[in-house]
Amino acid sequence: MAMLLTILARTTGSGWLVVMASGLVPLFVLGAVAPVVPLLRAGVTLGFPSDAMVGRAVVVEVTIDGRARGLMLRLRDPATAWIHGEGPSSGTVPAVPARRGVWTAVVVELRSAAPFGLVTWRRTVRVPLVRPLEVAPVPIAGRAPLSRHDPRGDAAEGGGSRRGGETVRGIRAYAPGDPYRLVHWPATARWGDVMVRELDDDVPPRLVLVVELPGDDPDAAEELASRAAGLADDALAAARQVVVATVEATGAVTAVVETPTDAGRRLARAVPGSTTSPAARPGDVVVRLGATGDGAHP
Amino acid sequence: MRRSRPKPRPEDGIAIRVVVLAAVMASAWAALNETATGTTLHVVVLAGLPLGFLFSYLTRQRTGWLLKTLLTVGLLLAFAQFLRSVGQLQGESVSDVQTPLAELFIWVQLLHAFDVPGRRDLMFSLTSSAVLAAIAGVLSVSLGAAPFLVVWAVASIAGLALAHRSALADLPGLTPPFTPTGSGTGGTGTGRPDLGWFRPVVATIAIVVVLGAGLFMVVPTAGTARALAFPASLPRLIAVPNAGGLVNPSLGPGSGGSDDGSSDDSRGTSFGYFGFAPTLDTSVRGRPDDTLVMRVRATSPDFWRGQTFDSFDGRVWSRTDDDPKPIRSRSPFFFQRVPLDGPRPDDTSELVQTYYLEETGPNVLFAANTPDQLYFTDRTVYQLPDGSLRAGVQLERDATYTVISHRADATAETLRASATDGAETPAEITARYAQAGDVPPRVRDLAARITRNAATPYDAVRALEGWMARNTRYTLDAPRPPRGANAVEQFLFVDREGFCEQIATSLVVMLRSLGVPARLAVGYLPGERNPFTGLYEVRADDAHAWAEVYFPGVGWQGFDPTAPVPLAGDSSGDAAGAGALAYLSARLPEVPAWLPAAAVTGLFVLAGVTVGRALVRRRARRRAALARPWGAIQLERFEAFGAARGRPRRPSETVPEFAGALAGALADPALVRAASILDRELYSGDPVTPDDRTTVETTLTRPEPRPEPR
Repeated sequence: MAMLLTILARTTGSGWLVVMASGLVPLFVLGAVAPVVPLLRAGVTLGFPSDAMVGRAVVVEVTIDGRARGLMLRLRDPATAWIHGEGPSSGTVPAVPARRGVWTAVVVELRSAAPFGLVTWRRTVRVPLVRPLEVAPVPIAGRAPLSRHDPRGDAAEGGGSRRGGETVRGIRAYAPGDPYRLVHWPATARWGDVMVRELDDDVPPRLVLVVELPGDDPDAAEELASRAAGLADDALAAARQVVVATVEATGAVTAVVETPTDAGRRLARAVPGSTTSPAARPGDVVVRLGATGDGAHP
Repeated sequence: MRRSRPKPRPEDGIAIRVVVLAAVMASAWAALNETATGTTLHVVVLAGLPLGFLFSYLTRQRTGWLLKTLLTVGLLLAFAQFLRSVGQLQGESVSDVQTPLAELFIWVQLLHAFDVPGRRDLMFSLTSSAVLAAIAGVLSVSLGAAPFLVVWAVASIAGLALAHRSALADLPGLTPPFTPTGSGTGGTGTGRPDLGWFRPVVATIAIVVVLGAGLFMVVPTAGTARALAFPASLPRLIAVPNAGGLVNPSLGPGSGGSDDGSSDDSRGTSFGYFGFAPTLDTSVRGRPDDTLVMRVRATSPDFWRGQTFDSFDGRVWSRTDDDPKPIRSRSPFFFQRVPLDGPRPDDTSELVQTYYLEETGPNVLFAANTPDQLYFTDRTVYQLPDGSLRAGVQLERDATYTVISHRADATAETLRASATDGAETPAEITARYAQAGDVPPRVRDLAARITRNAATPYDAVRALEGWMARNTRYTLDAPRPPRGANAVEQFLFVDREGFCEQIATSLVVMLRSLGVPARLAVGYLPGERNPFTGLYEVRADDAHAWAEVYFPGVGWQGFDPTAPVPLAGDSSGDAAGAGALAYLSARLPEVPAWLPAAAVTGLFVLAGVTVGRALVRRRARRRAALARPWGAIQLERFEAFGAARGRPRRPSETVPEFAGALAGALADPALVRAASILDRELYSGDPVTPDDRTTVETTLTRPEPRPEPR
């Protein structure tokens, strides 16, 4: 417009147009340059909770330092909507992680068009987090199997000392009503009386999750992690002990998880790769979820 | 039918609507003031625009297809009216379309005012107002547009800022933060009242004014070299009684202001100049006041010449050949170069001058030498043998005409060189303008003595000018020469003081005594340039007489020992804002002498206080940030701890209350103990032990609970 006014002034000789153009040029220059100021002034710090879950909003504490008016900002990943911020200020904004993983820094996109909205400048800031944000997969509801042949649960393999999910506590003489399948034939032969097994069936079997994420199919990996989270949650809800074996950036890790949060953290850190089956104890139900297929393995 | 785009959100802000309305009204009113329109449009601007904006605000949520249809019909009618107005111009200057165009824009603004539901619509109105303001700027030749343009500019800046704020307000903001009590950071602001949009707008205006003024001081002036059409208008067509003759109503009846009048020196008006008459008596000087008689739009200053005199009888100038040649044409008129102007020089430049008459004056068409084209409303003008122009009608107040002159690009060097480059002075010019006649001998001797070292006619002119500058004095109170005395001799040897007519006459007579062709020209000095309108404001006391000297190969050049006007070739383009401060200060009301100095000093003190205050605040903030007590830091962490777990501290809660609620929500009794320690640290005055501090810090570093799956 300033250019147009200048041309008009040159053709009409109007001094007022020169005055207007002289005012419009700095106005446009100001409108083009001024947005840089809040972008340079603004410093952003973020406060994330330690744990999050894919697709679930988490509350992010955003602090804008420095006098920075008319800012627009958003977090790229985990993503937030564009929000309006004035520095210095602080507040919260919901962010929704779109994928599983561990974040040590978050990219914040800043925009400013202040004070007129004529030209928009942008700046991206990589904000390191005070502590890593671990985004767990969304659990896919599943039933953790109680035995290798438990038709309710995912395919599993039995542990070496467990027989059908039953633990033999001792041998005693047969009593009327004992099921026929509990007869212990070697002891019967030795003692001459019918002897039956005494079972300790109050302790649920331990669930061992072996999670091997495929590297060539991210979607499949996410689904696998979600299934593992669902099984872990189910087992933990049944007061079963859960062991998760995964591959992390530092190598294979096998450890007991005590809460869904722990399980989520382990799965958040999981990266594609193969791991060896952990040493299973008698009675353990080992569930292998991985690139080579789910189910029992020799 | 489905909408291809979602309907924009209606703009609920009242402030933005008010400032946009102010901008639209200011620009429309500015345009109206510069056009000869009826009262209808004034009513439209005064009442229609506010009504339209109010209607738009009240109906901003509705779709209003019926309204849009009606507005479309209204637009078509306004355009039809515009076409009708243009058609009625019947071949007049294209520049006359400006008024119907301004009216059309005002109607468009009015109709659009009824349909501005959203921010984008308001911005369209603001942009349209810029067009109207530009039209007003083109049409305005005075400072009358200034107040409206200032209002428009301020309102436009405020409108832009508010529109941006409105756009930001569409976005969600940060959720109101937990406000840590007793800590210096966090929270939404600095604790000072938020002045909202007002402060940035004021700051922006200040910056724009400062930068714009600086730019205005360096950008070149507006030009007129490439215009397609030039203004020309006459308020009335009143033919002069004697076709081609000279009439000057400003001198009054029987004052010599007509070809058949006597050389009476009485004046009819306060601004009449007796030089615009058939004869000029050098012993008489009127005292025209400072009435603004005309404004001249031109890219560089020049003598605005009215007519010339060639015959001097020792006291009175007259023209030996006053036979105007009628030229009939439609605008623009093209003029042949008259023989008395000599052959056309090789190097010329175009100078476009538009004259806006502010007072009724002579029917002389002023022009810088040498006029080639004339944009004029009447069909007949008259060209005199010396090339000067006259109208066949009275030139009344508000008359406008445009002259395009071609000036020789003369410099001191080219004028000196003209004596040696072989060009000849035409015989008729020599015959008419280089005859000494009955010049008193001692005038002749004086001229010869002053110019004895002058190598060229140009050097002779400069020498004579220099001598007169050193030995004579310009004054309007010069004594009247005795009856029968030669005015030149009286001036040069007796009085040594006089006015421009006597000084210029002396220069012409002495040059003629040296054989240099010269004549007396009368007209106006360029006047004071108004840096804002770009026009020269010519006042009655700018009426002037000067010497014109002929240089072979170059043509006639004006010289004046009392009022330096640059040669065409030496005219450098000034910056548009040159002289703006002087122009404004001359028009400010009289202020005490100490006030400017006090104002400047006050500004410096204010700036110093502002900077000092900002520095002190900045330092205080840094100190506060560095010296924050442990308790304040931990309290802030405590509140953040709760907020991150979905239980922010409420404004009314004490620290223990907050801790109790949080501990219950999280089933973590350790929080109560941590809060107790904090409470003691913050409010009891008893310092806590290092172990207590560790307890608090450890408690607050516990990981947040992971969101449980549903």
